[in-house]
Amino acid sequence: MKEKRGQLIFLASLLFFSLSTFSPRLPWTLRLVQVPKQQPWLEYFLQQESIECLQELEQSYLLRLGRDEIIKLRNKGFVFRTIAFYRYDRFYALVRAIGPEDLDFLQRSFQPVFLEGDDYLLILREVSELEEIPVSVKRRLLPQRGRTLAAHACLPQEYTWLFFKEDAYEQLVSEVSAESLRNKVTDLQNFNTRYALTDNCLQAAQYLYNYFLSLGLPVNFHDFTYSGYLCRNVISEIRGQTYPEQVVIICAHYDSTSNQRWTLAPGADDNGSGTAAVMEAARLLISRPLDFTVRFILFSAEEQGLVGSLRYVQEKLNPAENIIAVINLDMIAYADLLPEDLDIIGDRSSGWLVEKISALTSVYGPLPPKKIIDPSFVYSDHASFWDRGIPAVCLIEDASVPNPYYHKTTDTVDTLDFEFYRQAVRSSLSGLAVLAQLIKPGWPGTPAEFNFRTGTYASIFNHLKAVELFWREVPGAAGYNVYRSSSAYLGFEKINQSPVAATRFIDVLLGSEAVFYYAVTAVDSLGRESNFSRVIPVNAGTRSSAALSGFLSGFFNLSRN
Amino acid sequence: MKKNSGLLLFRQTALVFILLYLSAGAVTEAREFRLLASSGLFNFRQTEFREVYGGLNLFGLAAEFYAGNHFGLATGIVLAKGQGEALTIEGDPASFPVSFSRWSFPFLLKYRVLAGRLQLAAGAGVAYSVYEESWLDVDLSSRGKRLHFRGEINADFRLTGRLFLRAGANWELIPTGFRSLLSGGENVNLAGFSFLGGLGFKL
Repeated sequence: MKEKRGQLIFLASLLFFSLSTFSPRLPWTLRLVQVPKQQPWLEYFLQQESIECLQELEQSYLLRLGRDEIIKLRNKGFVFRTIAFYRYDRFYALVRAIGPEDLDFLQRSFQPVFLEGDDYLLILREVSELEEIPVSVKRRLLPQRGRTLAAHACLPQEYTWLFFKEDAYEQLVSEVSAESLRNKVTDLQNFNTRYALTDNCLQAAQYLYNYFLSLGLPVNFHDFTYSGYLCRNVISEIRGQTYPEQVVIICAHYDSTSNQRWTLAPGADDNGSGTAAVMEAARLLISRPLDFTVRFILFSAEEQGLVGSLRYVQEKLNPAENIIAVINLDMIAYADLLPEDLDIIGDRSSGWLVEKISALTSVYGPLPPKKIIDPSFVYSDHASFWDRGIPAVCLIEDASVPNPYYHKTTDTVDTLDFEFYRQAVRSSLSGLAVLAQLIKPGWPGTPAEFNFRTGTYASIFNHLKAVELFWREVPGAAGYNVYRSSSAYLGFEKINQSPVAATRFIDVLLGSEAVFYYAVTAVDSLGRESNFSRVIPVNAGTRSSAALSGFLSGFFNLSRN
Repeated sequence: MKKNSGLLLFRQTALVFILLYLSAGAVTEAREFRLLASSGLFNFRQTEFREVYGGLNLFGLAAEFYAGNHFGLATGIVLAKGQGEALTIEGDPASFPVSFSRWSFPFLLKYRVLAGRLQLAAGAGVAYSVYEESWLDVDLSSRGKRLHFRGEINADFRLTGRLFLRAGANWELIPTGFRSLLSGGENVNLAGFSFLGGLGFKL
């Protein structure tokens, strides 16, 4: 008996010791935190700490933070408010309720968390709860993964872009046909509804699939389920001839909604117009060679909160590809005022793209572009790409004056302005073709297989970090120009004095820690210059002499006699 | 400051040698004047430098004055020159051709032993060297000048009454005061051995 008691005491002691020594740390609950902008060094802090931003709003950031991050934020003296505990088994939707009835509904049916302006956060158990919300409420499911803020974001005022009309591009956009667009929008409207959860929407998907197939393009469905319903994105592409892994996306959502969404949602402007524009772009580009790949994506379930594009970026992004830019077309055919302007909306990282498309809109539309940098404009499919740090713009008719037929059964083809629509399509098509680089017949070819290697090289007295750029020879080229920039998208300056005769160029990166971007062009004997090659980033990252000597001693075990 | 002290040392050493030579001349009438053309190879002492350049080609002209049977003075001009490729320290290998040249003006006190047709000699003294290293594809170069130690031994074999063949070796220490990555962050010393052969003429 005594022995047993002794054993029990021993076991109890052991258990106590174990629990006190190895008590597991409870996982800290993640929290959703709203941090107002306009706080000095806030963006710098978020970048340095690689804090993920789930959503950038107009005046604040929505962050998902752990315990340590919250402590750091507090210690740095930043103002913030905790909105909710974050749970992975919940769905978080950002909604914009403009009318008082919408807000009333939200407050009655949900417990919306006020964020700012007309923006609210909904926390949902099931994603299908979003279906109960009136169609006039814009909505967006928050991504499960946020993104860190870009270290450098260009604002439109920082640079200007000037384009002159070029014959090849003018010829391309001149083939945009209002009649062709009208036919396509009518076809789409004739499905009665393209509400994502209906069979009609699947039939519309098949129609789009067949269209690309009829052009001779490869096409496939990207299937996913939403609330138990099958939904289909339709994806087609024209493969680039020089750098197929460089991709420019033009996209639109083809689903529609209305207050009678199960039976009648013609969605001519929203978004038959964008869908038909993507189809028209495919028709016109099919016969033209391009340096880079153009991908045509028609998303489903956008009206459910950008579900189609969200699933695309979750499942279909190929790490071997570089998506240069995304042009999202959403409602581009309704004009309330003439001349109607075309809104070109991007986030801060897409500022260069906003500028570029705006400049092209002025030249090739021609339409007056309205450049808007608004990271809180997240109620269309471009936002899913923003989440992944991919430059994307949304082209939309003047958003400040909404289409009165928006999300109604009266959004029909007869309400559209086909001259404005044609000009908007010309604008987007010119942007697409410039980004994907039309190969101009008779001009020098674009240098292919552009690549680089870097290294540190030393002689007795000197050493340098250098990048050796090399590319494939272009037949008929008299020489090559090499361009360098500190940005991937703009500010390229020629760094060779005279055309380089060889297919190799060495750039010395003395004492720099920056990332440089390079591109090369070919020039012929008439001085005509080819398109840019792909742009390659090179991390200069030069080590200081002292650091390098340590490196050498450590790794090469340098001997001195 | 460094340059001035180097020149001063050079002048002082030259003066000592001239005095030695004149005093030796005072005791004997057996004066001898020799001219010599030679070529050979210079090898850096430091392995990494040899990896860059291999051996440097060496060309020299020398004049020697013997005031008696044993002591003499030697001077001349020597060019060491070579091309190589910069070493890849990290990253992908790439070819960066480099060239190195050094002009030297030695001033040595020599001691010789005569044995029939054979003359064995050893000398030590200073040399004034001007050196330059350049990267051929890149605008990168370094140059410098130094007064430094030089020692040599050689053997002459008399072919005729005036002509003779020479084989010899030199040893030089050339601290440059320049820090370099390839010398592990330490001062570069261009020290090394030279092996020479040549044809001489006795006046």
